[in-house]
Amino acid sequence: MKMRRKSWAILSVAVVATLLLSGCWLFGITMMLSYDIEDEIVSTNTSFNSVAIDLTEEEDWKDNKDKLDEIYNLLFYGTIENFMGTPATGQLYLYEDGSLTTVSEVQTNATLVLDGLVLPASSVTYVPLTEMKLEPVRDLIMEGKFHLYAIAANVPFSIEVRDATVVVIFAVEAIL
Amino acid sequence: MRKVICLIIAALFVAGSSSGAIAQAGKFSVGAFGGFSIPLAQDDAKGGALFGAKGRILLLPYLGVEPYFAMAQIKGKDAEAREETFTLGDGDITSFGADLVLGSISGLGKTKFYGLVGINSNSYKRERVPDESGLGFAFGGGVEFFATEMMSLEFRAKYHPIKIGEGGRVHLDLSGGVNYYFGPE
Repeated sequence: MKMRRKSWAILSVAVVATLLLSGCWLFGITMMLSYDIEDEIVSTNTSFNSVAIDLTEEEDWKDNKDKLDEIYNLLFYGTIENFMGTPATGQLYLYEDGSLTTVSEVQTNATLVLDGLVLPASSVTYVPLTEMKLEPVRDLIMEGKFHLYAIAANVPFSIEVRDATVVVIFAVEAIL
Repeated sequence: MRKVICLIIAALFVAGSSSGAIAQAGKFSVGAFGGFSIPLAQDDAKGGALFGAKGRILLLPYLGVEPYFAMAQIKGKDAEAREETFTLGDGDITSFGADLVLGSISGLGKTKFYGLVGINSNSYKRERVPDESGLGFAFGGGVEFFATEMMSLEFRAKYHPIKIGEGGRVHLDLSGGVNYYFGPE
């Protein structure tokens, strides 16, 4: 009986030590945030705008800003219209601000997160919720503020992105 | 990390077989289990089936070590964008590790209760995203009914936190299984 009590004590100490050593992630939770982009991106090979995405204004993000551990997924949803009479290949880029003004600046400085969007000539393409490349922009997403650019791989192009939503799935520390 | 877990499991096996455990407690078992793995507080995943196999070496009449392998399905939850609903990708978690089991796992009586604590290595896979792997822990308990001297039915609940990247995912694994014991009665 004495031996059994001793073993229970050892096990209890091991459990507590494990909990302490492993830190808060033992109790992590995963949250999903849908950010609707109100503005359109109107983009041609000579001029375009970007849209600002500010997750820091969202309640879920704001409430957990100091406990943010990890970004798991980054997804895009939206509608893209190709105004040209030739097909285009749409590309989405992320950058820290809206300072980029030429296609080559975007291609050089921003990070390509979604490529190969097939945009038939003179038509509207609906893009279902699609996974974007997360790894190269993980730190940028963690900051919570970034800009989305849309261009086409082939020149000339004239496209418009509207009714877009970015979905972010992230992990925060929490005690269940 | 996988090598570390392998070494720990190997060390536990060696300890189990060299400490006179088999001579003292005299039994080891092999078994299979199935059940349900429930993601806790995860907006992007819901529960799926859980399957696995394990062994148990009795180090002492009330202390055993259980190396195991398990696979749990992950079902994608729905995500909403502009009032449209999309189902996120499914996936699975492959785990192998070892649990220390402590309780009335040997001796008289047909019903045994026990607690467990363990360490495991996990491979986390979801459709359309890169695979991840991470260290996990296990805490839980169970009950084992001996239908015969050598065969038992077992039910257990296991709290299973896994480190994925810098974050963590927590699962509650509920399972039932059958064990067959070898060694002297």
